[in-house]
Amino acid sequence: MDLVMTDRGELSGTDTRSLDADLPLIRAIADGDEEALATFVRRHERRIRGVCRGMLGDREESRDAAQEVFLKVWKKAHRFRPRGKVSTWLYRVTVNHCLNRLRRRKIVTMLPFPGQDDEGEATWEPKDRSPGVDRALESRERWRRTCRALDGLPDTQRAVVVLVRFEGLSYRETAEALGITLGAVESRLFRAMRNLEKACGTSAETETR
Amino acid sequence: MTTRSEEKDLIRLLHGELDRDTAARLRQRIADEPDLDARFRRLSETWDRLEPPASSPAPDLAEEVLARVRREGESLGWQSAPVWARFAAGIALPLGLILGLIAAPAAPGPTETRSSSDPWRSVYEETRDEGLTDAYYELVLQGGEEEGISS
Repeated sequence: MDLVMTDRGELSGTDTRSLDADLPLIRAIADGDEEALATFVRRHERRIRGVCRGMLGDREESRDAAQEVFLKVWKKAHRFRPRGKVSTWLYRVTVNHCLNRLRRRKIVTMLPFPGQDDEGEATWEPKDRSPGVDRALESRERWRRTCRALDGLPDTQRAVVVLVRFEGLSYRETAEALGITLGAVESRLFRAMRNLEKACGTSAETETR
Repeated sequence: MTTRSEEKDLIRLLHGELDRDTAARLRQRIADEPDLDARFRRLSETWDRLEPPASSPAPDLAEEVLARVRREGESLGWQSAPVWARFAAGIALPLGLILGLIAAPAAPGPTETRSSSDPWRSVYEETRDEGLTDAYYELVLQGGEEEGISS
């Protein structure tokens, strides 16, 4: 296998199966070990909730979705075949679950991306104006803007952006997680960047030949 | 103005996806070419504007997941049923269907099961060749006349 050092200092093309610490956990979960499931959830909770939040926007819905993802892991662990990393498989389960939820959401009603209003948080004005609170408000405002920008993306482009931007996955890892080719990841990112520029208002004078 | 392939390379550079030599060459070009530099800045600005969701303190998700696992385990879901139960159900369902098909011709028809006290019987017998709508109106008119309502 050819090893290439990328600009972000990672080796691409490494066979990471032997390094996967999640494999024994998945095997134990497949055998019905609840303690192993709890350990697995605690290990991956943050990133799975992050992906769900990025994909779905709404905090409560993403929390619910994260629970359902781990329930799927519990039910489907016996089907896992170690061709890649467990975390990659987990990302795929998560993204597919979120895409299904988004599809259902579109069928049920044409709701706006929930993060736009973020459960009324945008109108929340605290009396305490300490720097910590200001930072939190700024962060919330940035997240609202992010939600608005992500809202303009087709679901498949949003999935790529969430994995690359928020999860820091490489193109290769993203391709594996979504079950698409490297070229498709690049193509979706290219189109997503165009859409994001329009949404963020940074697209002025953008021209390509 | 940048070409499509240049722009793709800029995006790859932004995401750290170029190998070191190519990245170094492109960085040099960005330093030398104002157009490329401006395009790269705009792409970077767009990308950096995407704020990752803040991780908020939340109740123990693991406990919630385990609670759901136990709840679902307690419910009589088809997937959680033991193999013998699934096997028995797999046999019983087609067997019941076959027995039903065998027994159906021997069962009495609907007219034969009507009792003589059935208020619909006379109407049904008399209007056998008419539509059900006619039979309904006839019954309603009869009822109306009995209650002293006339059109």
